[in-house]
Amino acid sequence: MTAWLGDVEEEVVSRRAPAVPPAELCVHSNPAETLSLLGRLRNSLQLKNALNYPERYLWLRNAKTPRGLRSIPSYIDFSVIKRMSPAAALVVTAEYHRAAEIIGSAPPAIDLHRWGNGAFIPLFRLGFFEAIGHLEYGGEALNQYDEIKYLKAVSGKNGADLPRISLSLMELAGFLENGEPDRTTRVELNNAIGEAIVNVARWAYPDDHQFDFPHLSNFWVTGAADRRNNSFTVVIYDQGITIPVSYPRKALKQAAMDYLKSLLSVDTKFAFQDDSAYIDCAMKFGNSQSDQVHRGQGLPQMRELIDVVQGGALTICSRGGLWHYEYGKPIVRSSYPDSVGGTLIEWKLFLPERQEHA
Amino acid sequence: MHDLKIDIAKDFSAYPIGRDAEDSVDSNGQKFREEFLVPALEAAEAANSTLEVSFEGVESFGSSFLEEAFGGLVRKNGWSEHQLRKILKITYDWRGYARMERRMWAHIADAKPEN
Repeated sequence: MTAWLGDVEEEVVSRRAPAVPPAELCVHSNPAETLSLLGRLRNSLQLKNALNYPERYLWLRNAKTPRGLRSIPSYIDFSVIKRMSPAAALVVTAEYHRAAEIIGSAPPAIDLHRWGNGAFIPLFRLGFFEAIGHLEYGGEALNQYDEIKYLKAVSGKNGADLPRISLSLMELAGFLENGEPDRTTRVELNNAIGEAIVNVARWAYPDDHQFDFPHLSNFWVTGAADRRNNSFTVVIYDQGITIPVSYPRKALKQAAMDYLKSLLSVDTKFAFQDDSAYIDCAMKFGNSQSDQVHRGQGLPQMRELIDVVQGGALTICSRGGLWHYEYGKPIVRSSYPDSVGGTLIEWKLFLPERQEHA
Repeated sequence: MHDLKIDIAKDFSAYPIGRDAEDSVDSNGQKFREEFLVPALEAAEAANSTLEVSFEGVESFGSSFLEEAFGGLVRKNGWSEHQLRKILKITYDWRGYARMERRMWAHIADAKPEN
């Protein structure tokens, strides 16, 4: 097998059989297997070991083999992936970006020549290889493959990043048949993304929380404009505390407490089984505490975009909870025993014809 | 006829966001309230005039910014909704801002003085 580190490719051996991901990596179509794979990927990067023993941490180790090949302890076989959604690609990019920032280098891409377009194209178009340092940053922020145009993953820390993200997304939307979204969609999209960014800046990385993995206090944003169905997808991801962890800490309003109690399970069958209930409650009542009712309306405002535009869907995946709202339809939620490693928010809009001029 | 005017997009930011510097150093609601709104409101009140605040050109109006900037006038700065209804005039050409204005007044109505 080969390991590609950006500048060089070398033949290596693996000490273990690879972890095999599902053919479909998407929280919509295959949530259980997708979250499981993302969890395995996160664990395989061994960030805690890397922090504790940086001098001993190497992606490739000198192996005592007759041929003198270096070895890799384990890897994930990306070649079996047939389809990777932009949201899943963003989480993968963020995981490797974090590893690259903390460790100083990212793991090699194993057997890159065998990766199919289903995995390679979304990751490449999102700027995965630039984010992890295997390729130098360069070129356009937007790039097209077939009928889909992607925004390279953009990371940021707070609201100061909103203007550049918004401008990039509007340029991306211009790829669609009807051009840039109308002013209502544009402003409401900025509102929704802005509130998501504020949530990250203010709540996602509290100093008093013991995180399972070291973090960069970042968020990552990407987008995709798909001419095949005139859809526009925006995704934001953070590796923070998650809604199911932060929400129960709050002194909630009585109505929120009562609603949450009605959703929680009586018996524990698996870890994170009530995570979607916490998301549902947070989306319904906001994130505010009983003594700070003026705060915490950001989460409901993220949904307003779908209602104002009157089309599309909002999906929130936080730790093991998945919450999905499609305009005009009941909310669908489910929980899984594996975590997305933070909070993933995706808006998918089907942009109408322009009815007004900005 | 308004004697005083703040154009949020031109004078402050086209992308106002968040409550305070933790959310965004230069374009947060607290900064807008303390450095723009309060001085202008005080000047308008002293002159027995009104303050026009133009929404035109603003590209984002998150609830955290709107609440901190305008609800904060009641919570932090001692203004009442009644006073603000008399002095504060919101203007815009694009009718889409009407939702933002309604939300802004709702934040003012819901706010309780903290002192």
